[in-house]
Amino acid sequence: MESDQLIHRYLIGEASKDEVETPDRLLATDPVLRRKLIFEAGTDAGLREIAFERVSKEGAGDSERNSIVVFPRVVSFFAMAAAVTLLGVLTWSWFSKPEVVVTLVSSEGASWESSLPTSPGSDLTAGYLNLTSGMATIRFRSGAEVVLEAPANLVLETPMRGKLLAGAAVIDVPDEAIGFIMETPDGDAIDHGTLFAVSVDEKESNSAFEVLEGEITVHHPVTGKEKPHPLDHATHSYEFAYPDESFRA
Amino acid sequence: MADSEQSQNQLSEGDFMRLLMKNEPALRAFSRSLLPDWNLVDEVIQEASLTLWEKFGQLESEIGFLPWAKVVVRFKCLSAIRDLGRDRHVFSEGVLELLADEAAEDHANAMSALRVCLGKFSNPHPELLLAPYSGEGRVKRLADESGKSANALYKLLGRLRQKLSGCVHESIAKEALANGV
Repeated sequence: MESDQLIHRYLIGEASKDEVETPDRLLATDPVLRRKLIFEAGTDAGLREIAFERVSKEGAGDSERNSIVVFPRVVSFFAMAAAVTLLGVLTWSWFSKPEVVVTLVSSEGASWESSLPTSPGSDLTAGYLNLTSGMATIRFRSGAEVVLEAPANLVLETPMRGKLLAGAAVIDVPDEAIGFIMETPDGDAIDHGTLFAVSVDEKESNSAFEVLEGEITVHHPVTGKEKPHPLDHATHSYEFAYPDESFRA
Repeated sequence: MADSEQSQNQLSEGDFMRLLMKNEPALRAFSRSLLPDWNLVDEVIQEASLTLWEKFGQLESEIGFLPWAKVVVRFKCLSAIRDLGRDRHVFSEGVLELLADEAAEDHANAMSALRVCLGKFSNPHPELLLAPYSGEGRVKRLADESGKSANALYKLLGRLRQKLSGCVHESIAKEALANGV
């Protein structure tokens, strides 16, 4: 059995004594295989975390997540075959769509490097958007609207979360999307219903958050510190920078 | 927690709770690389949380929380494995020590990549990937509902996990490249 499968069996608790002894010998001498096991354990932990998040969302009455996906069933009633097949096809085509994270609302002189659709009106699933020129407006399914200015590199994660790797963005968060998170390489902005701007300077390795209206909390992943940033009749600007090169990922 | 310790590091009970909640996913991932099942991980994290609370006064700054907590969790994991005895099939202590030394995944980055990659799968595959963590018997129920055998679904799950891992790996590498790391 391949080492990948042995690791998988070990992680799901199905490995026999022999199946543990073999990778144990290999792991003792093979750092690549150890990295593989650590990586797979991390994936296992991440999937469990996401599953728990979904369960708690369902518990809170999020009907969007309540659509438990059912594999197509075999239907044996010939009289109902046509109707059921049609229903089945419609149901399957609905459920088989990956979750839409954002809609591309508009763009001005925009050019993209992305595997996702980039024409205005397109519904986009999770993935990377690289805006190489121009401006574009996207709306997350939660209602949060983001105006991106090129050059910008944005990761679309969930309807409530994005990650700006580079570039500038202005984010408008309506009440229904309070709690929307825009990550940057060195800080997460958690929105409390506001309009705010983020810019990430890759070369300087820093991120700037500017509150235009309302309040956000900026969480610094290195120090663990959180700072609320309200607006007091003036624009607030706050900048994070890597305190030391050694903190860089 | 002793008062003298509290005043020394100026970290409050609220700080402890916040730091623990923030770092718990990373600690669980770390424990998972050392322990053979999730029940044991949950037990160890619970025990370690108590120890961390008792020893919180030793922590000098917030920045050191995760490395410090990992030392405690590592000790608890190795101790739990020793207690398992010979009934369970687990890796040798030498290998576990090596894994603990080398387990330095950036959990937050890996989570971002995982969310993106999971979003790339068409339903019902994300449901199946999350099924082993969505309650006992979930995979079996999906099998019943789909008219497939549980074994067939587990095989499909294995293939999907490989595909997912490949995607996460690639995403992390791309991001590292984009960040010039």
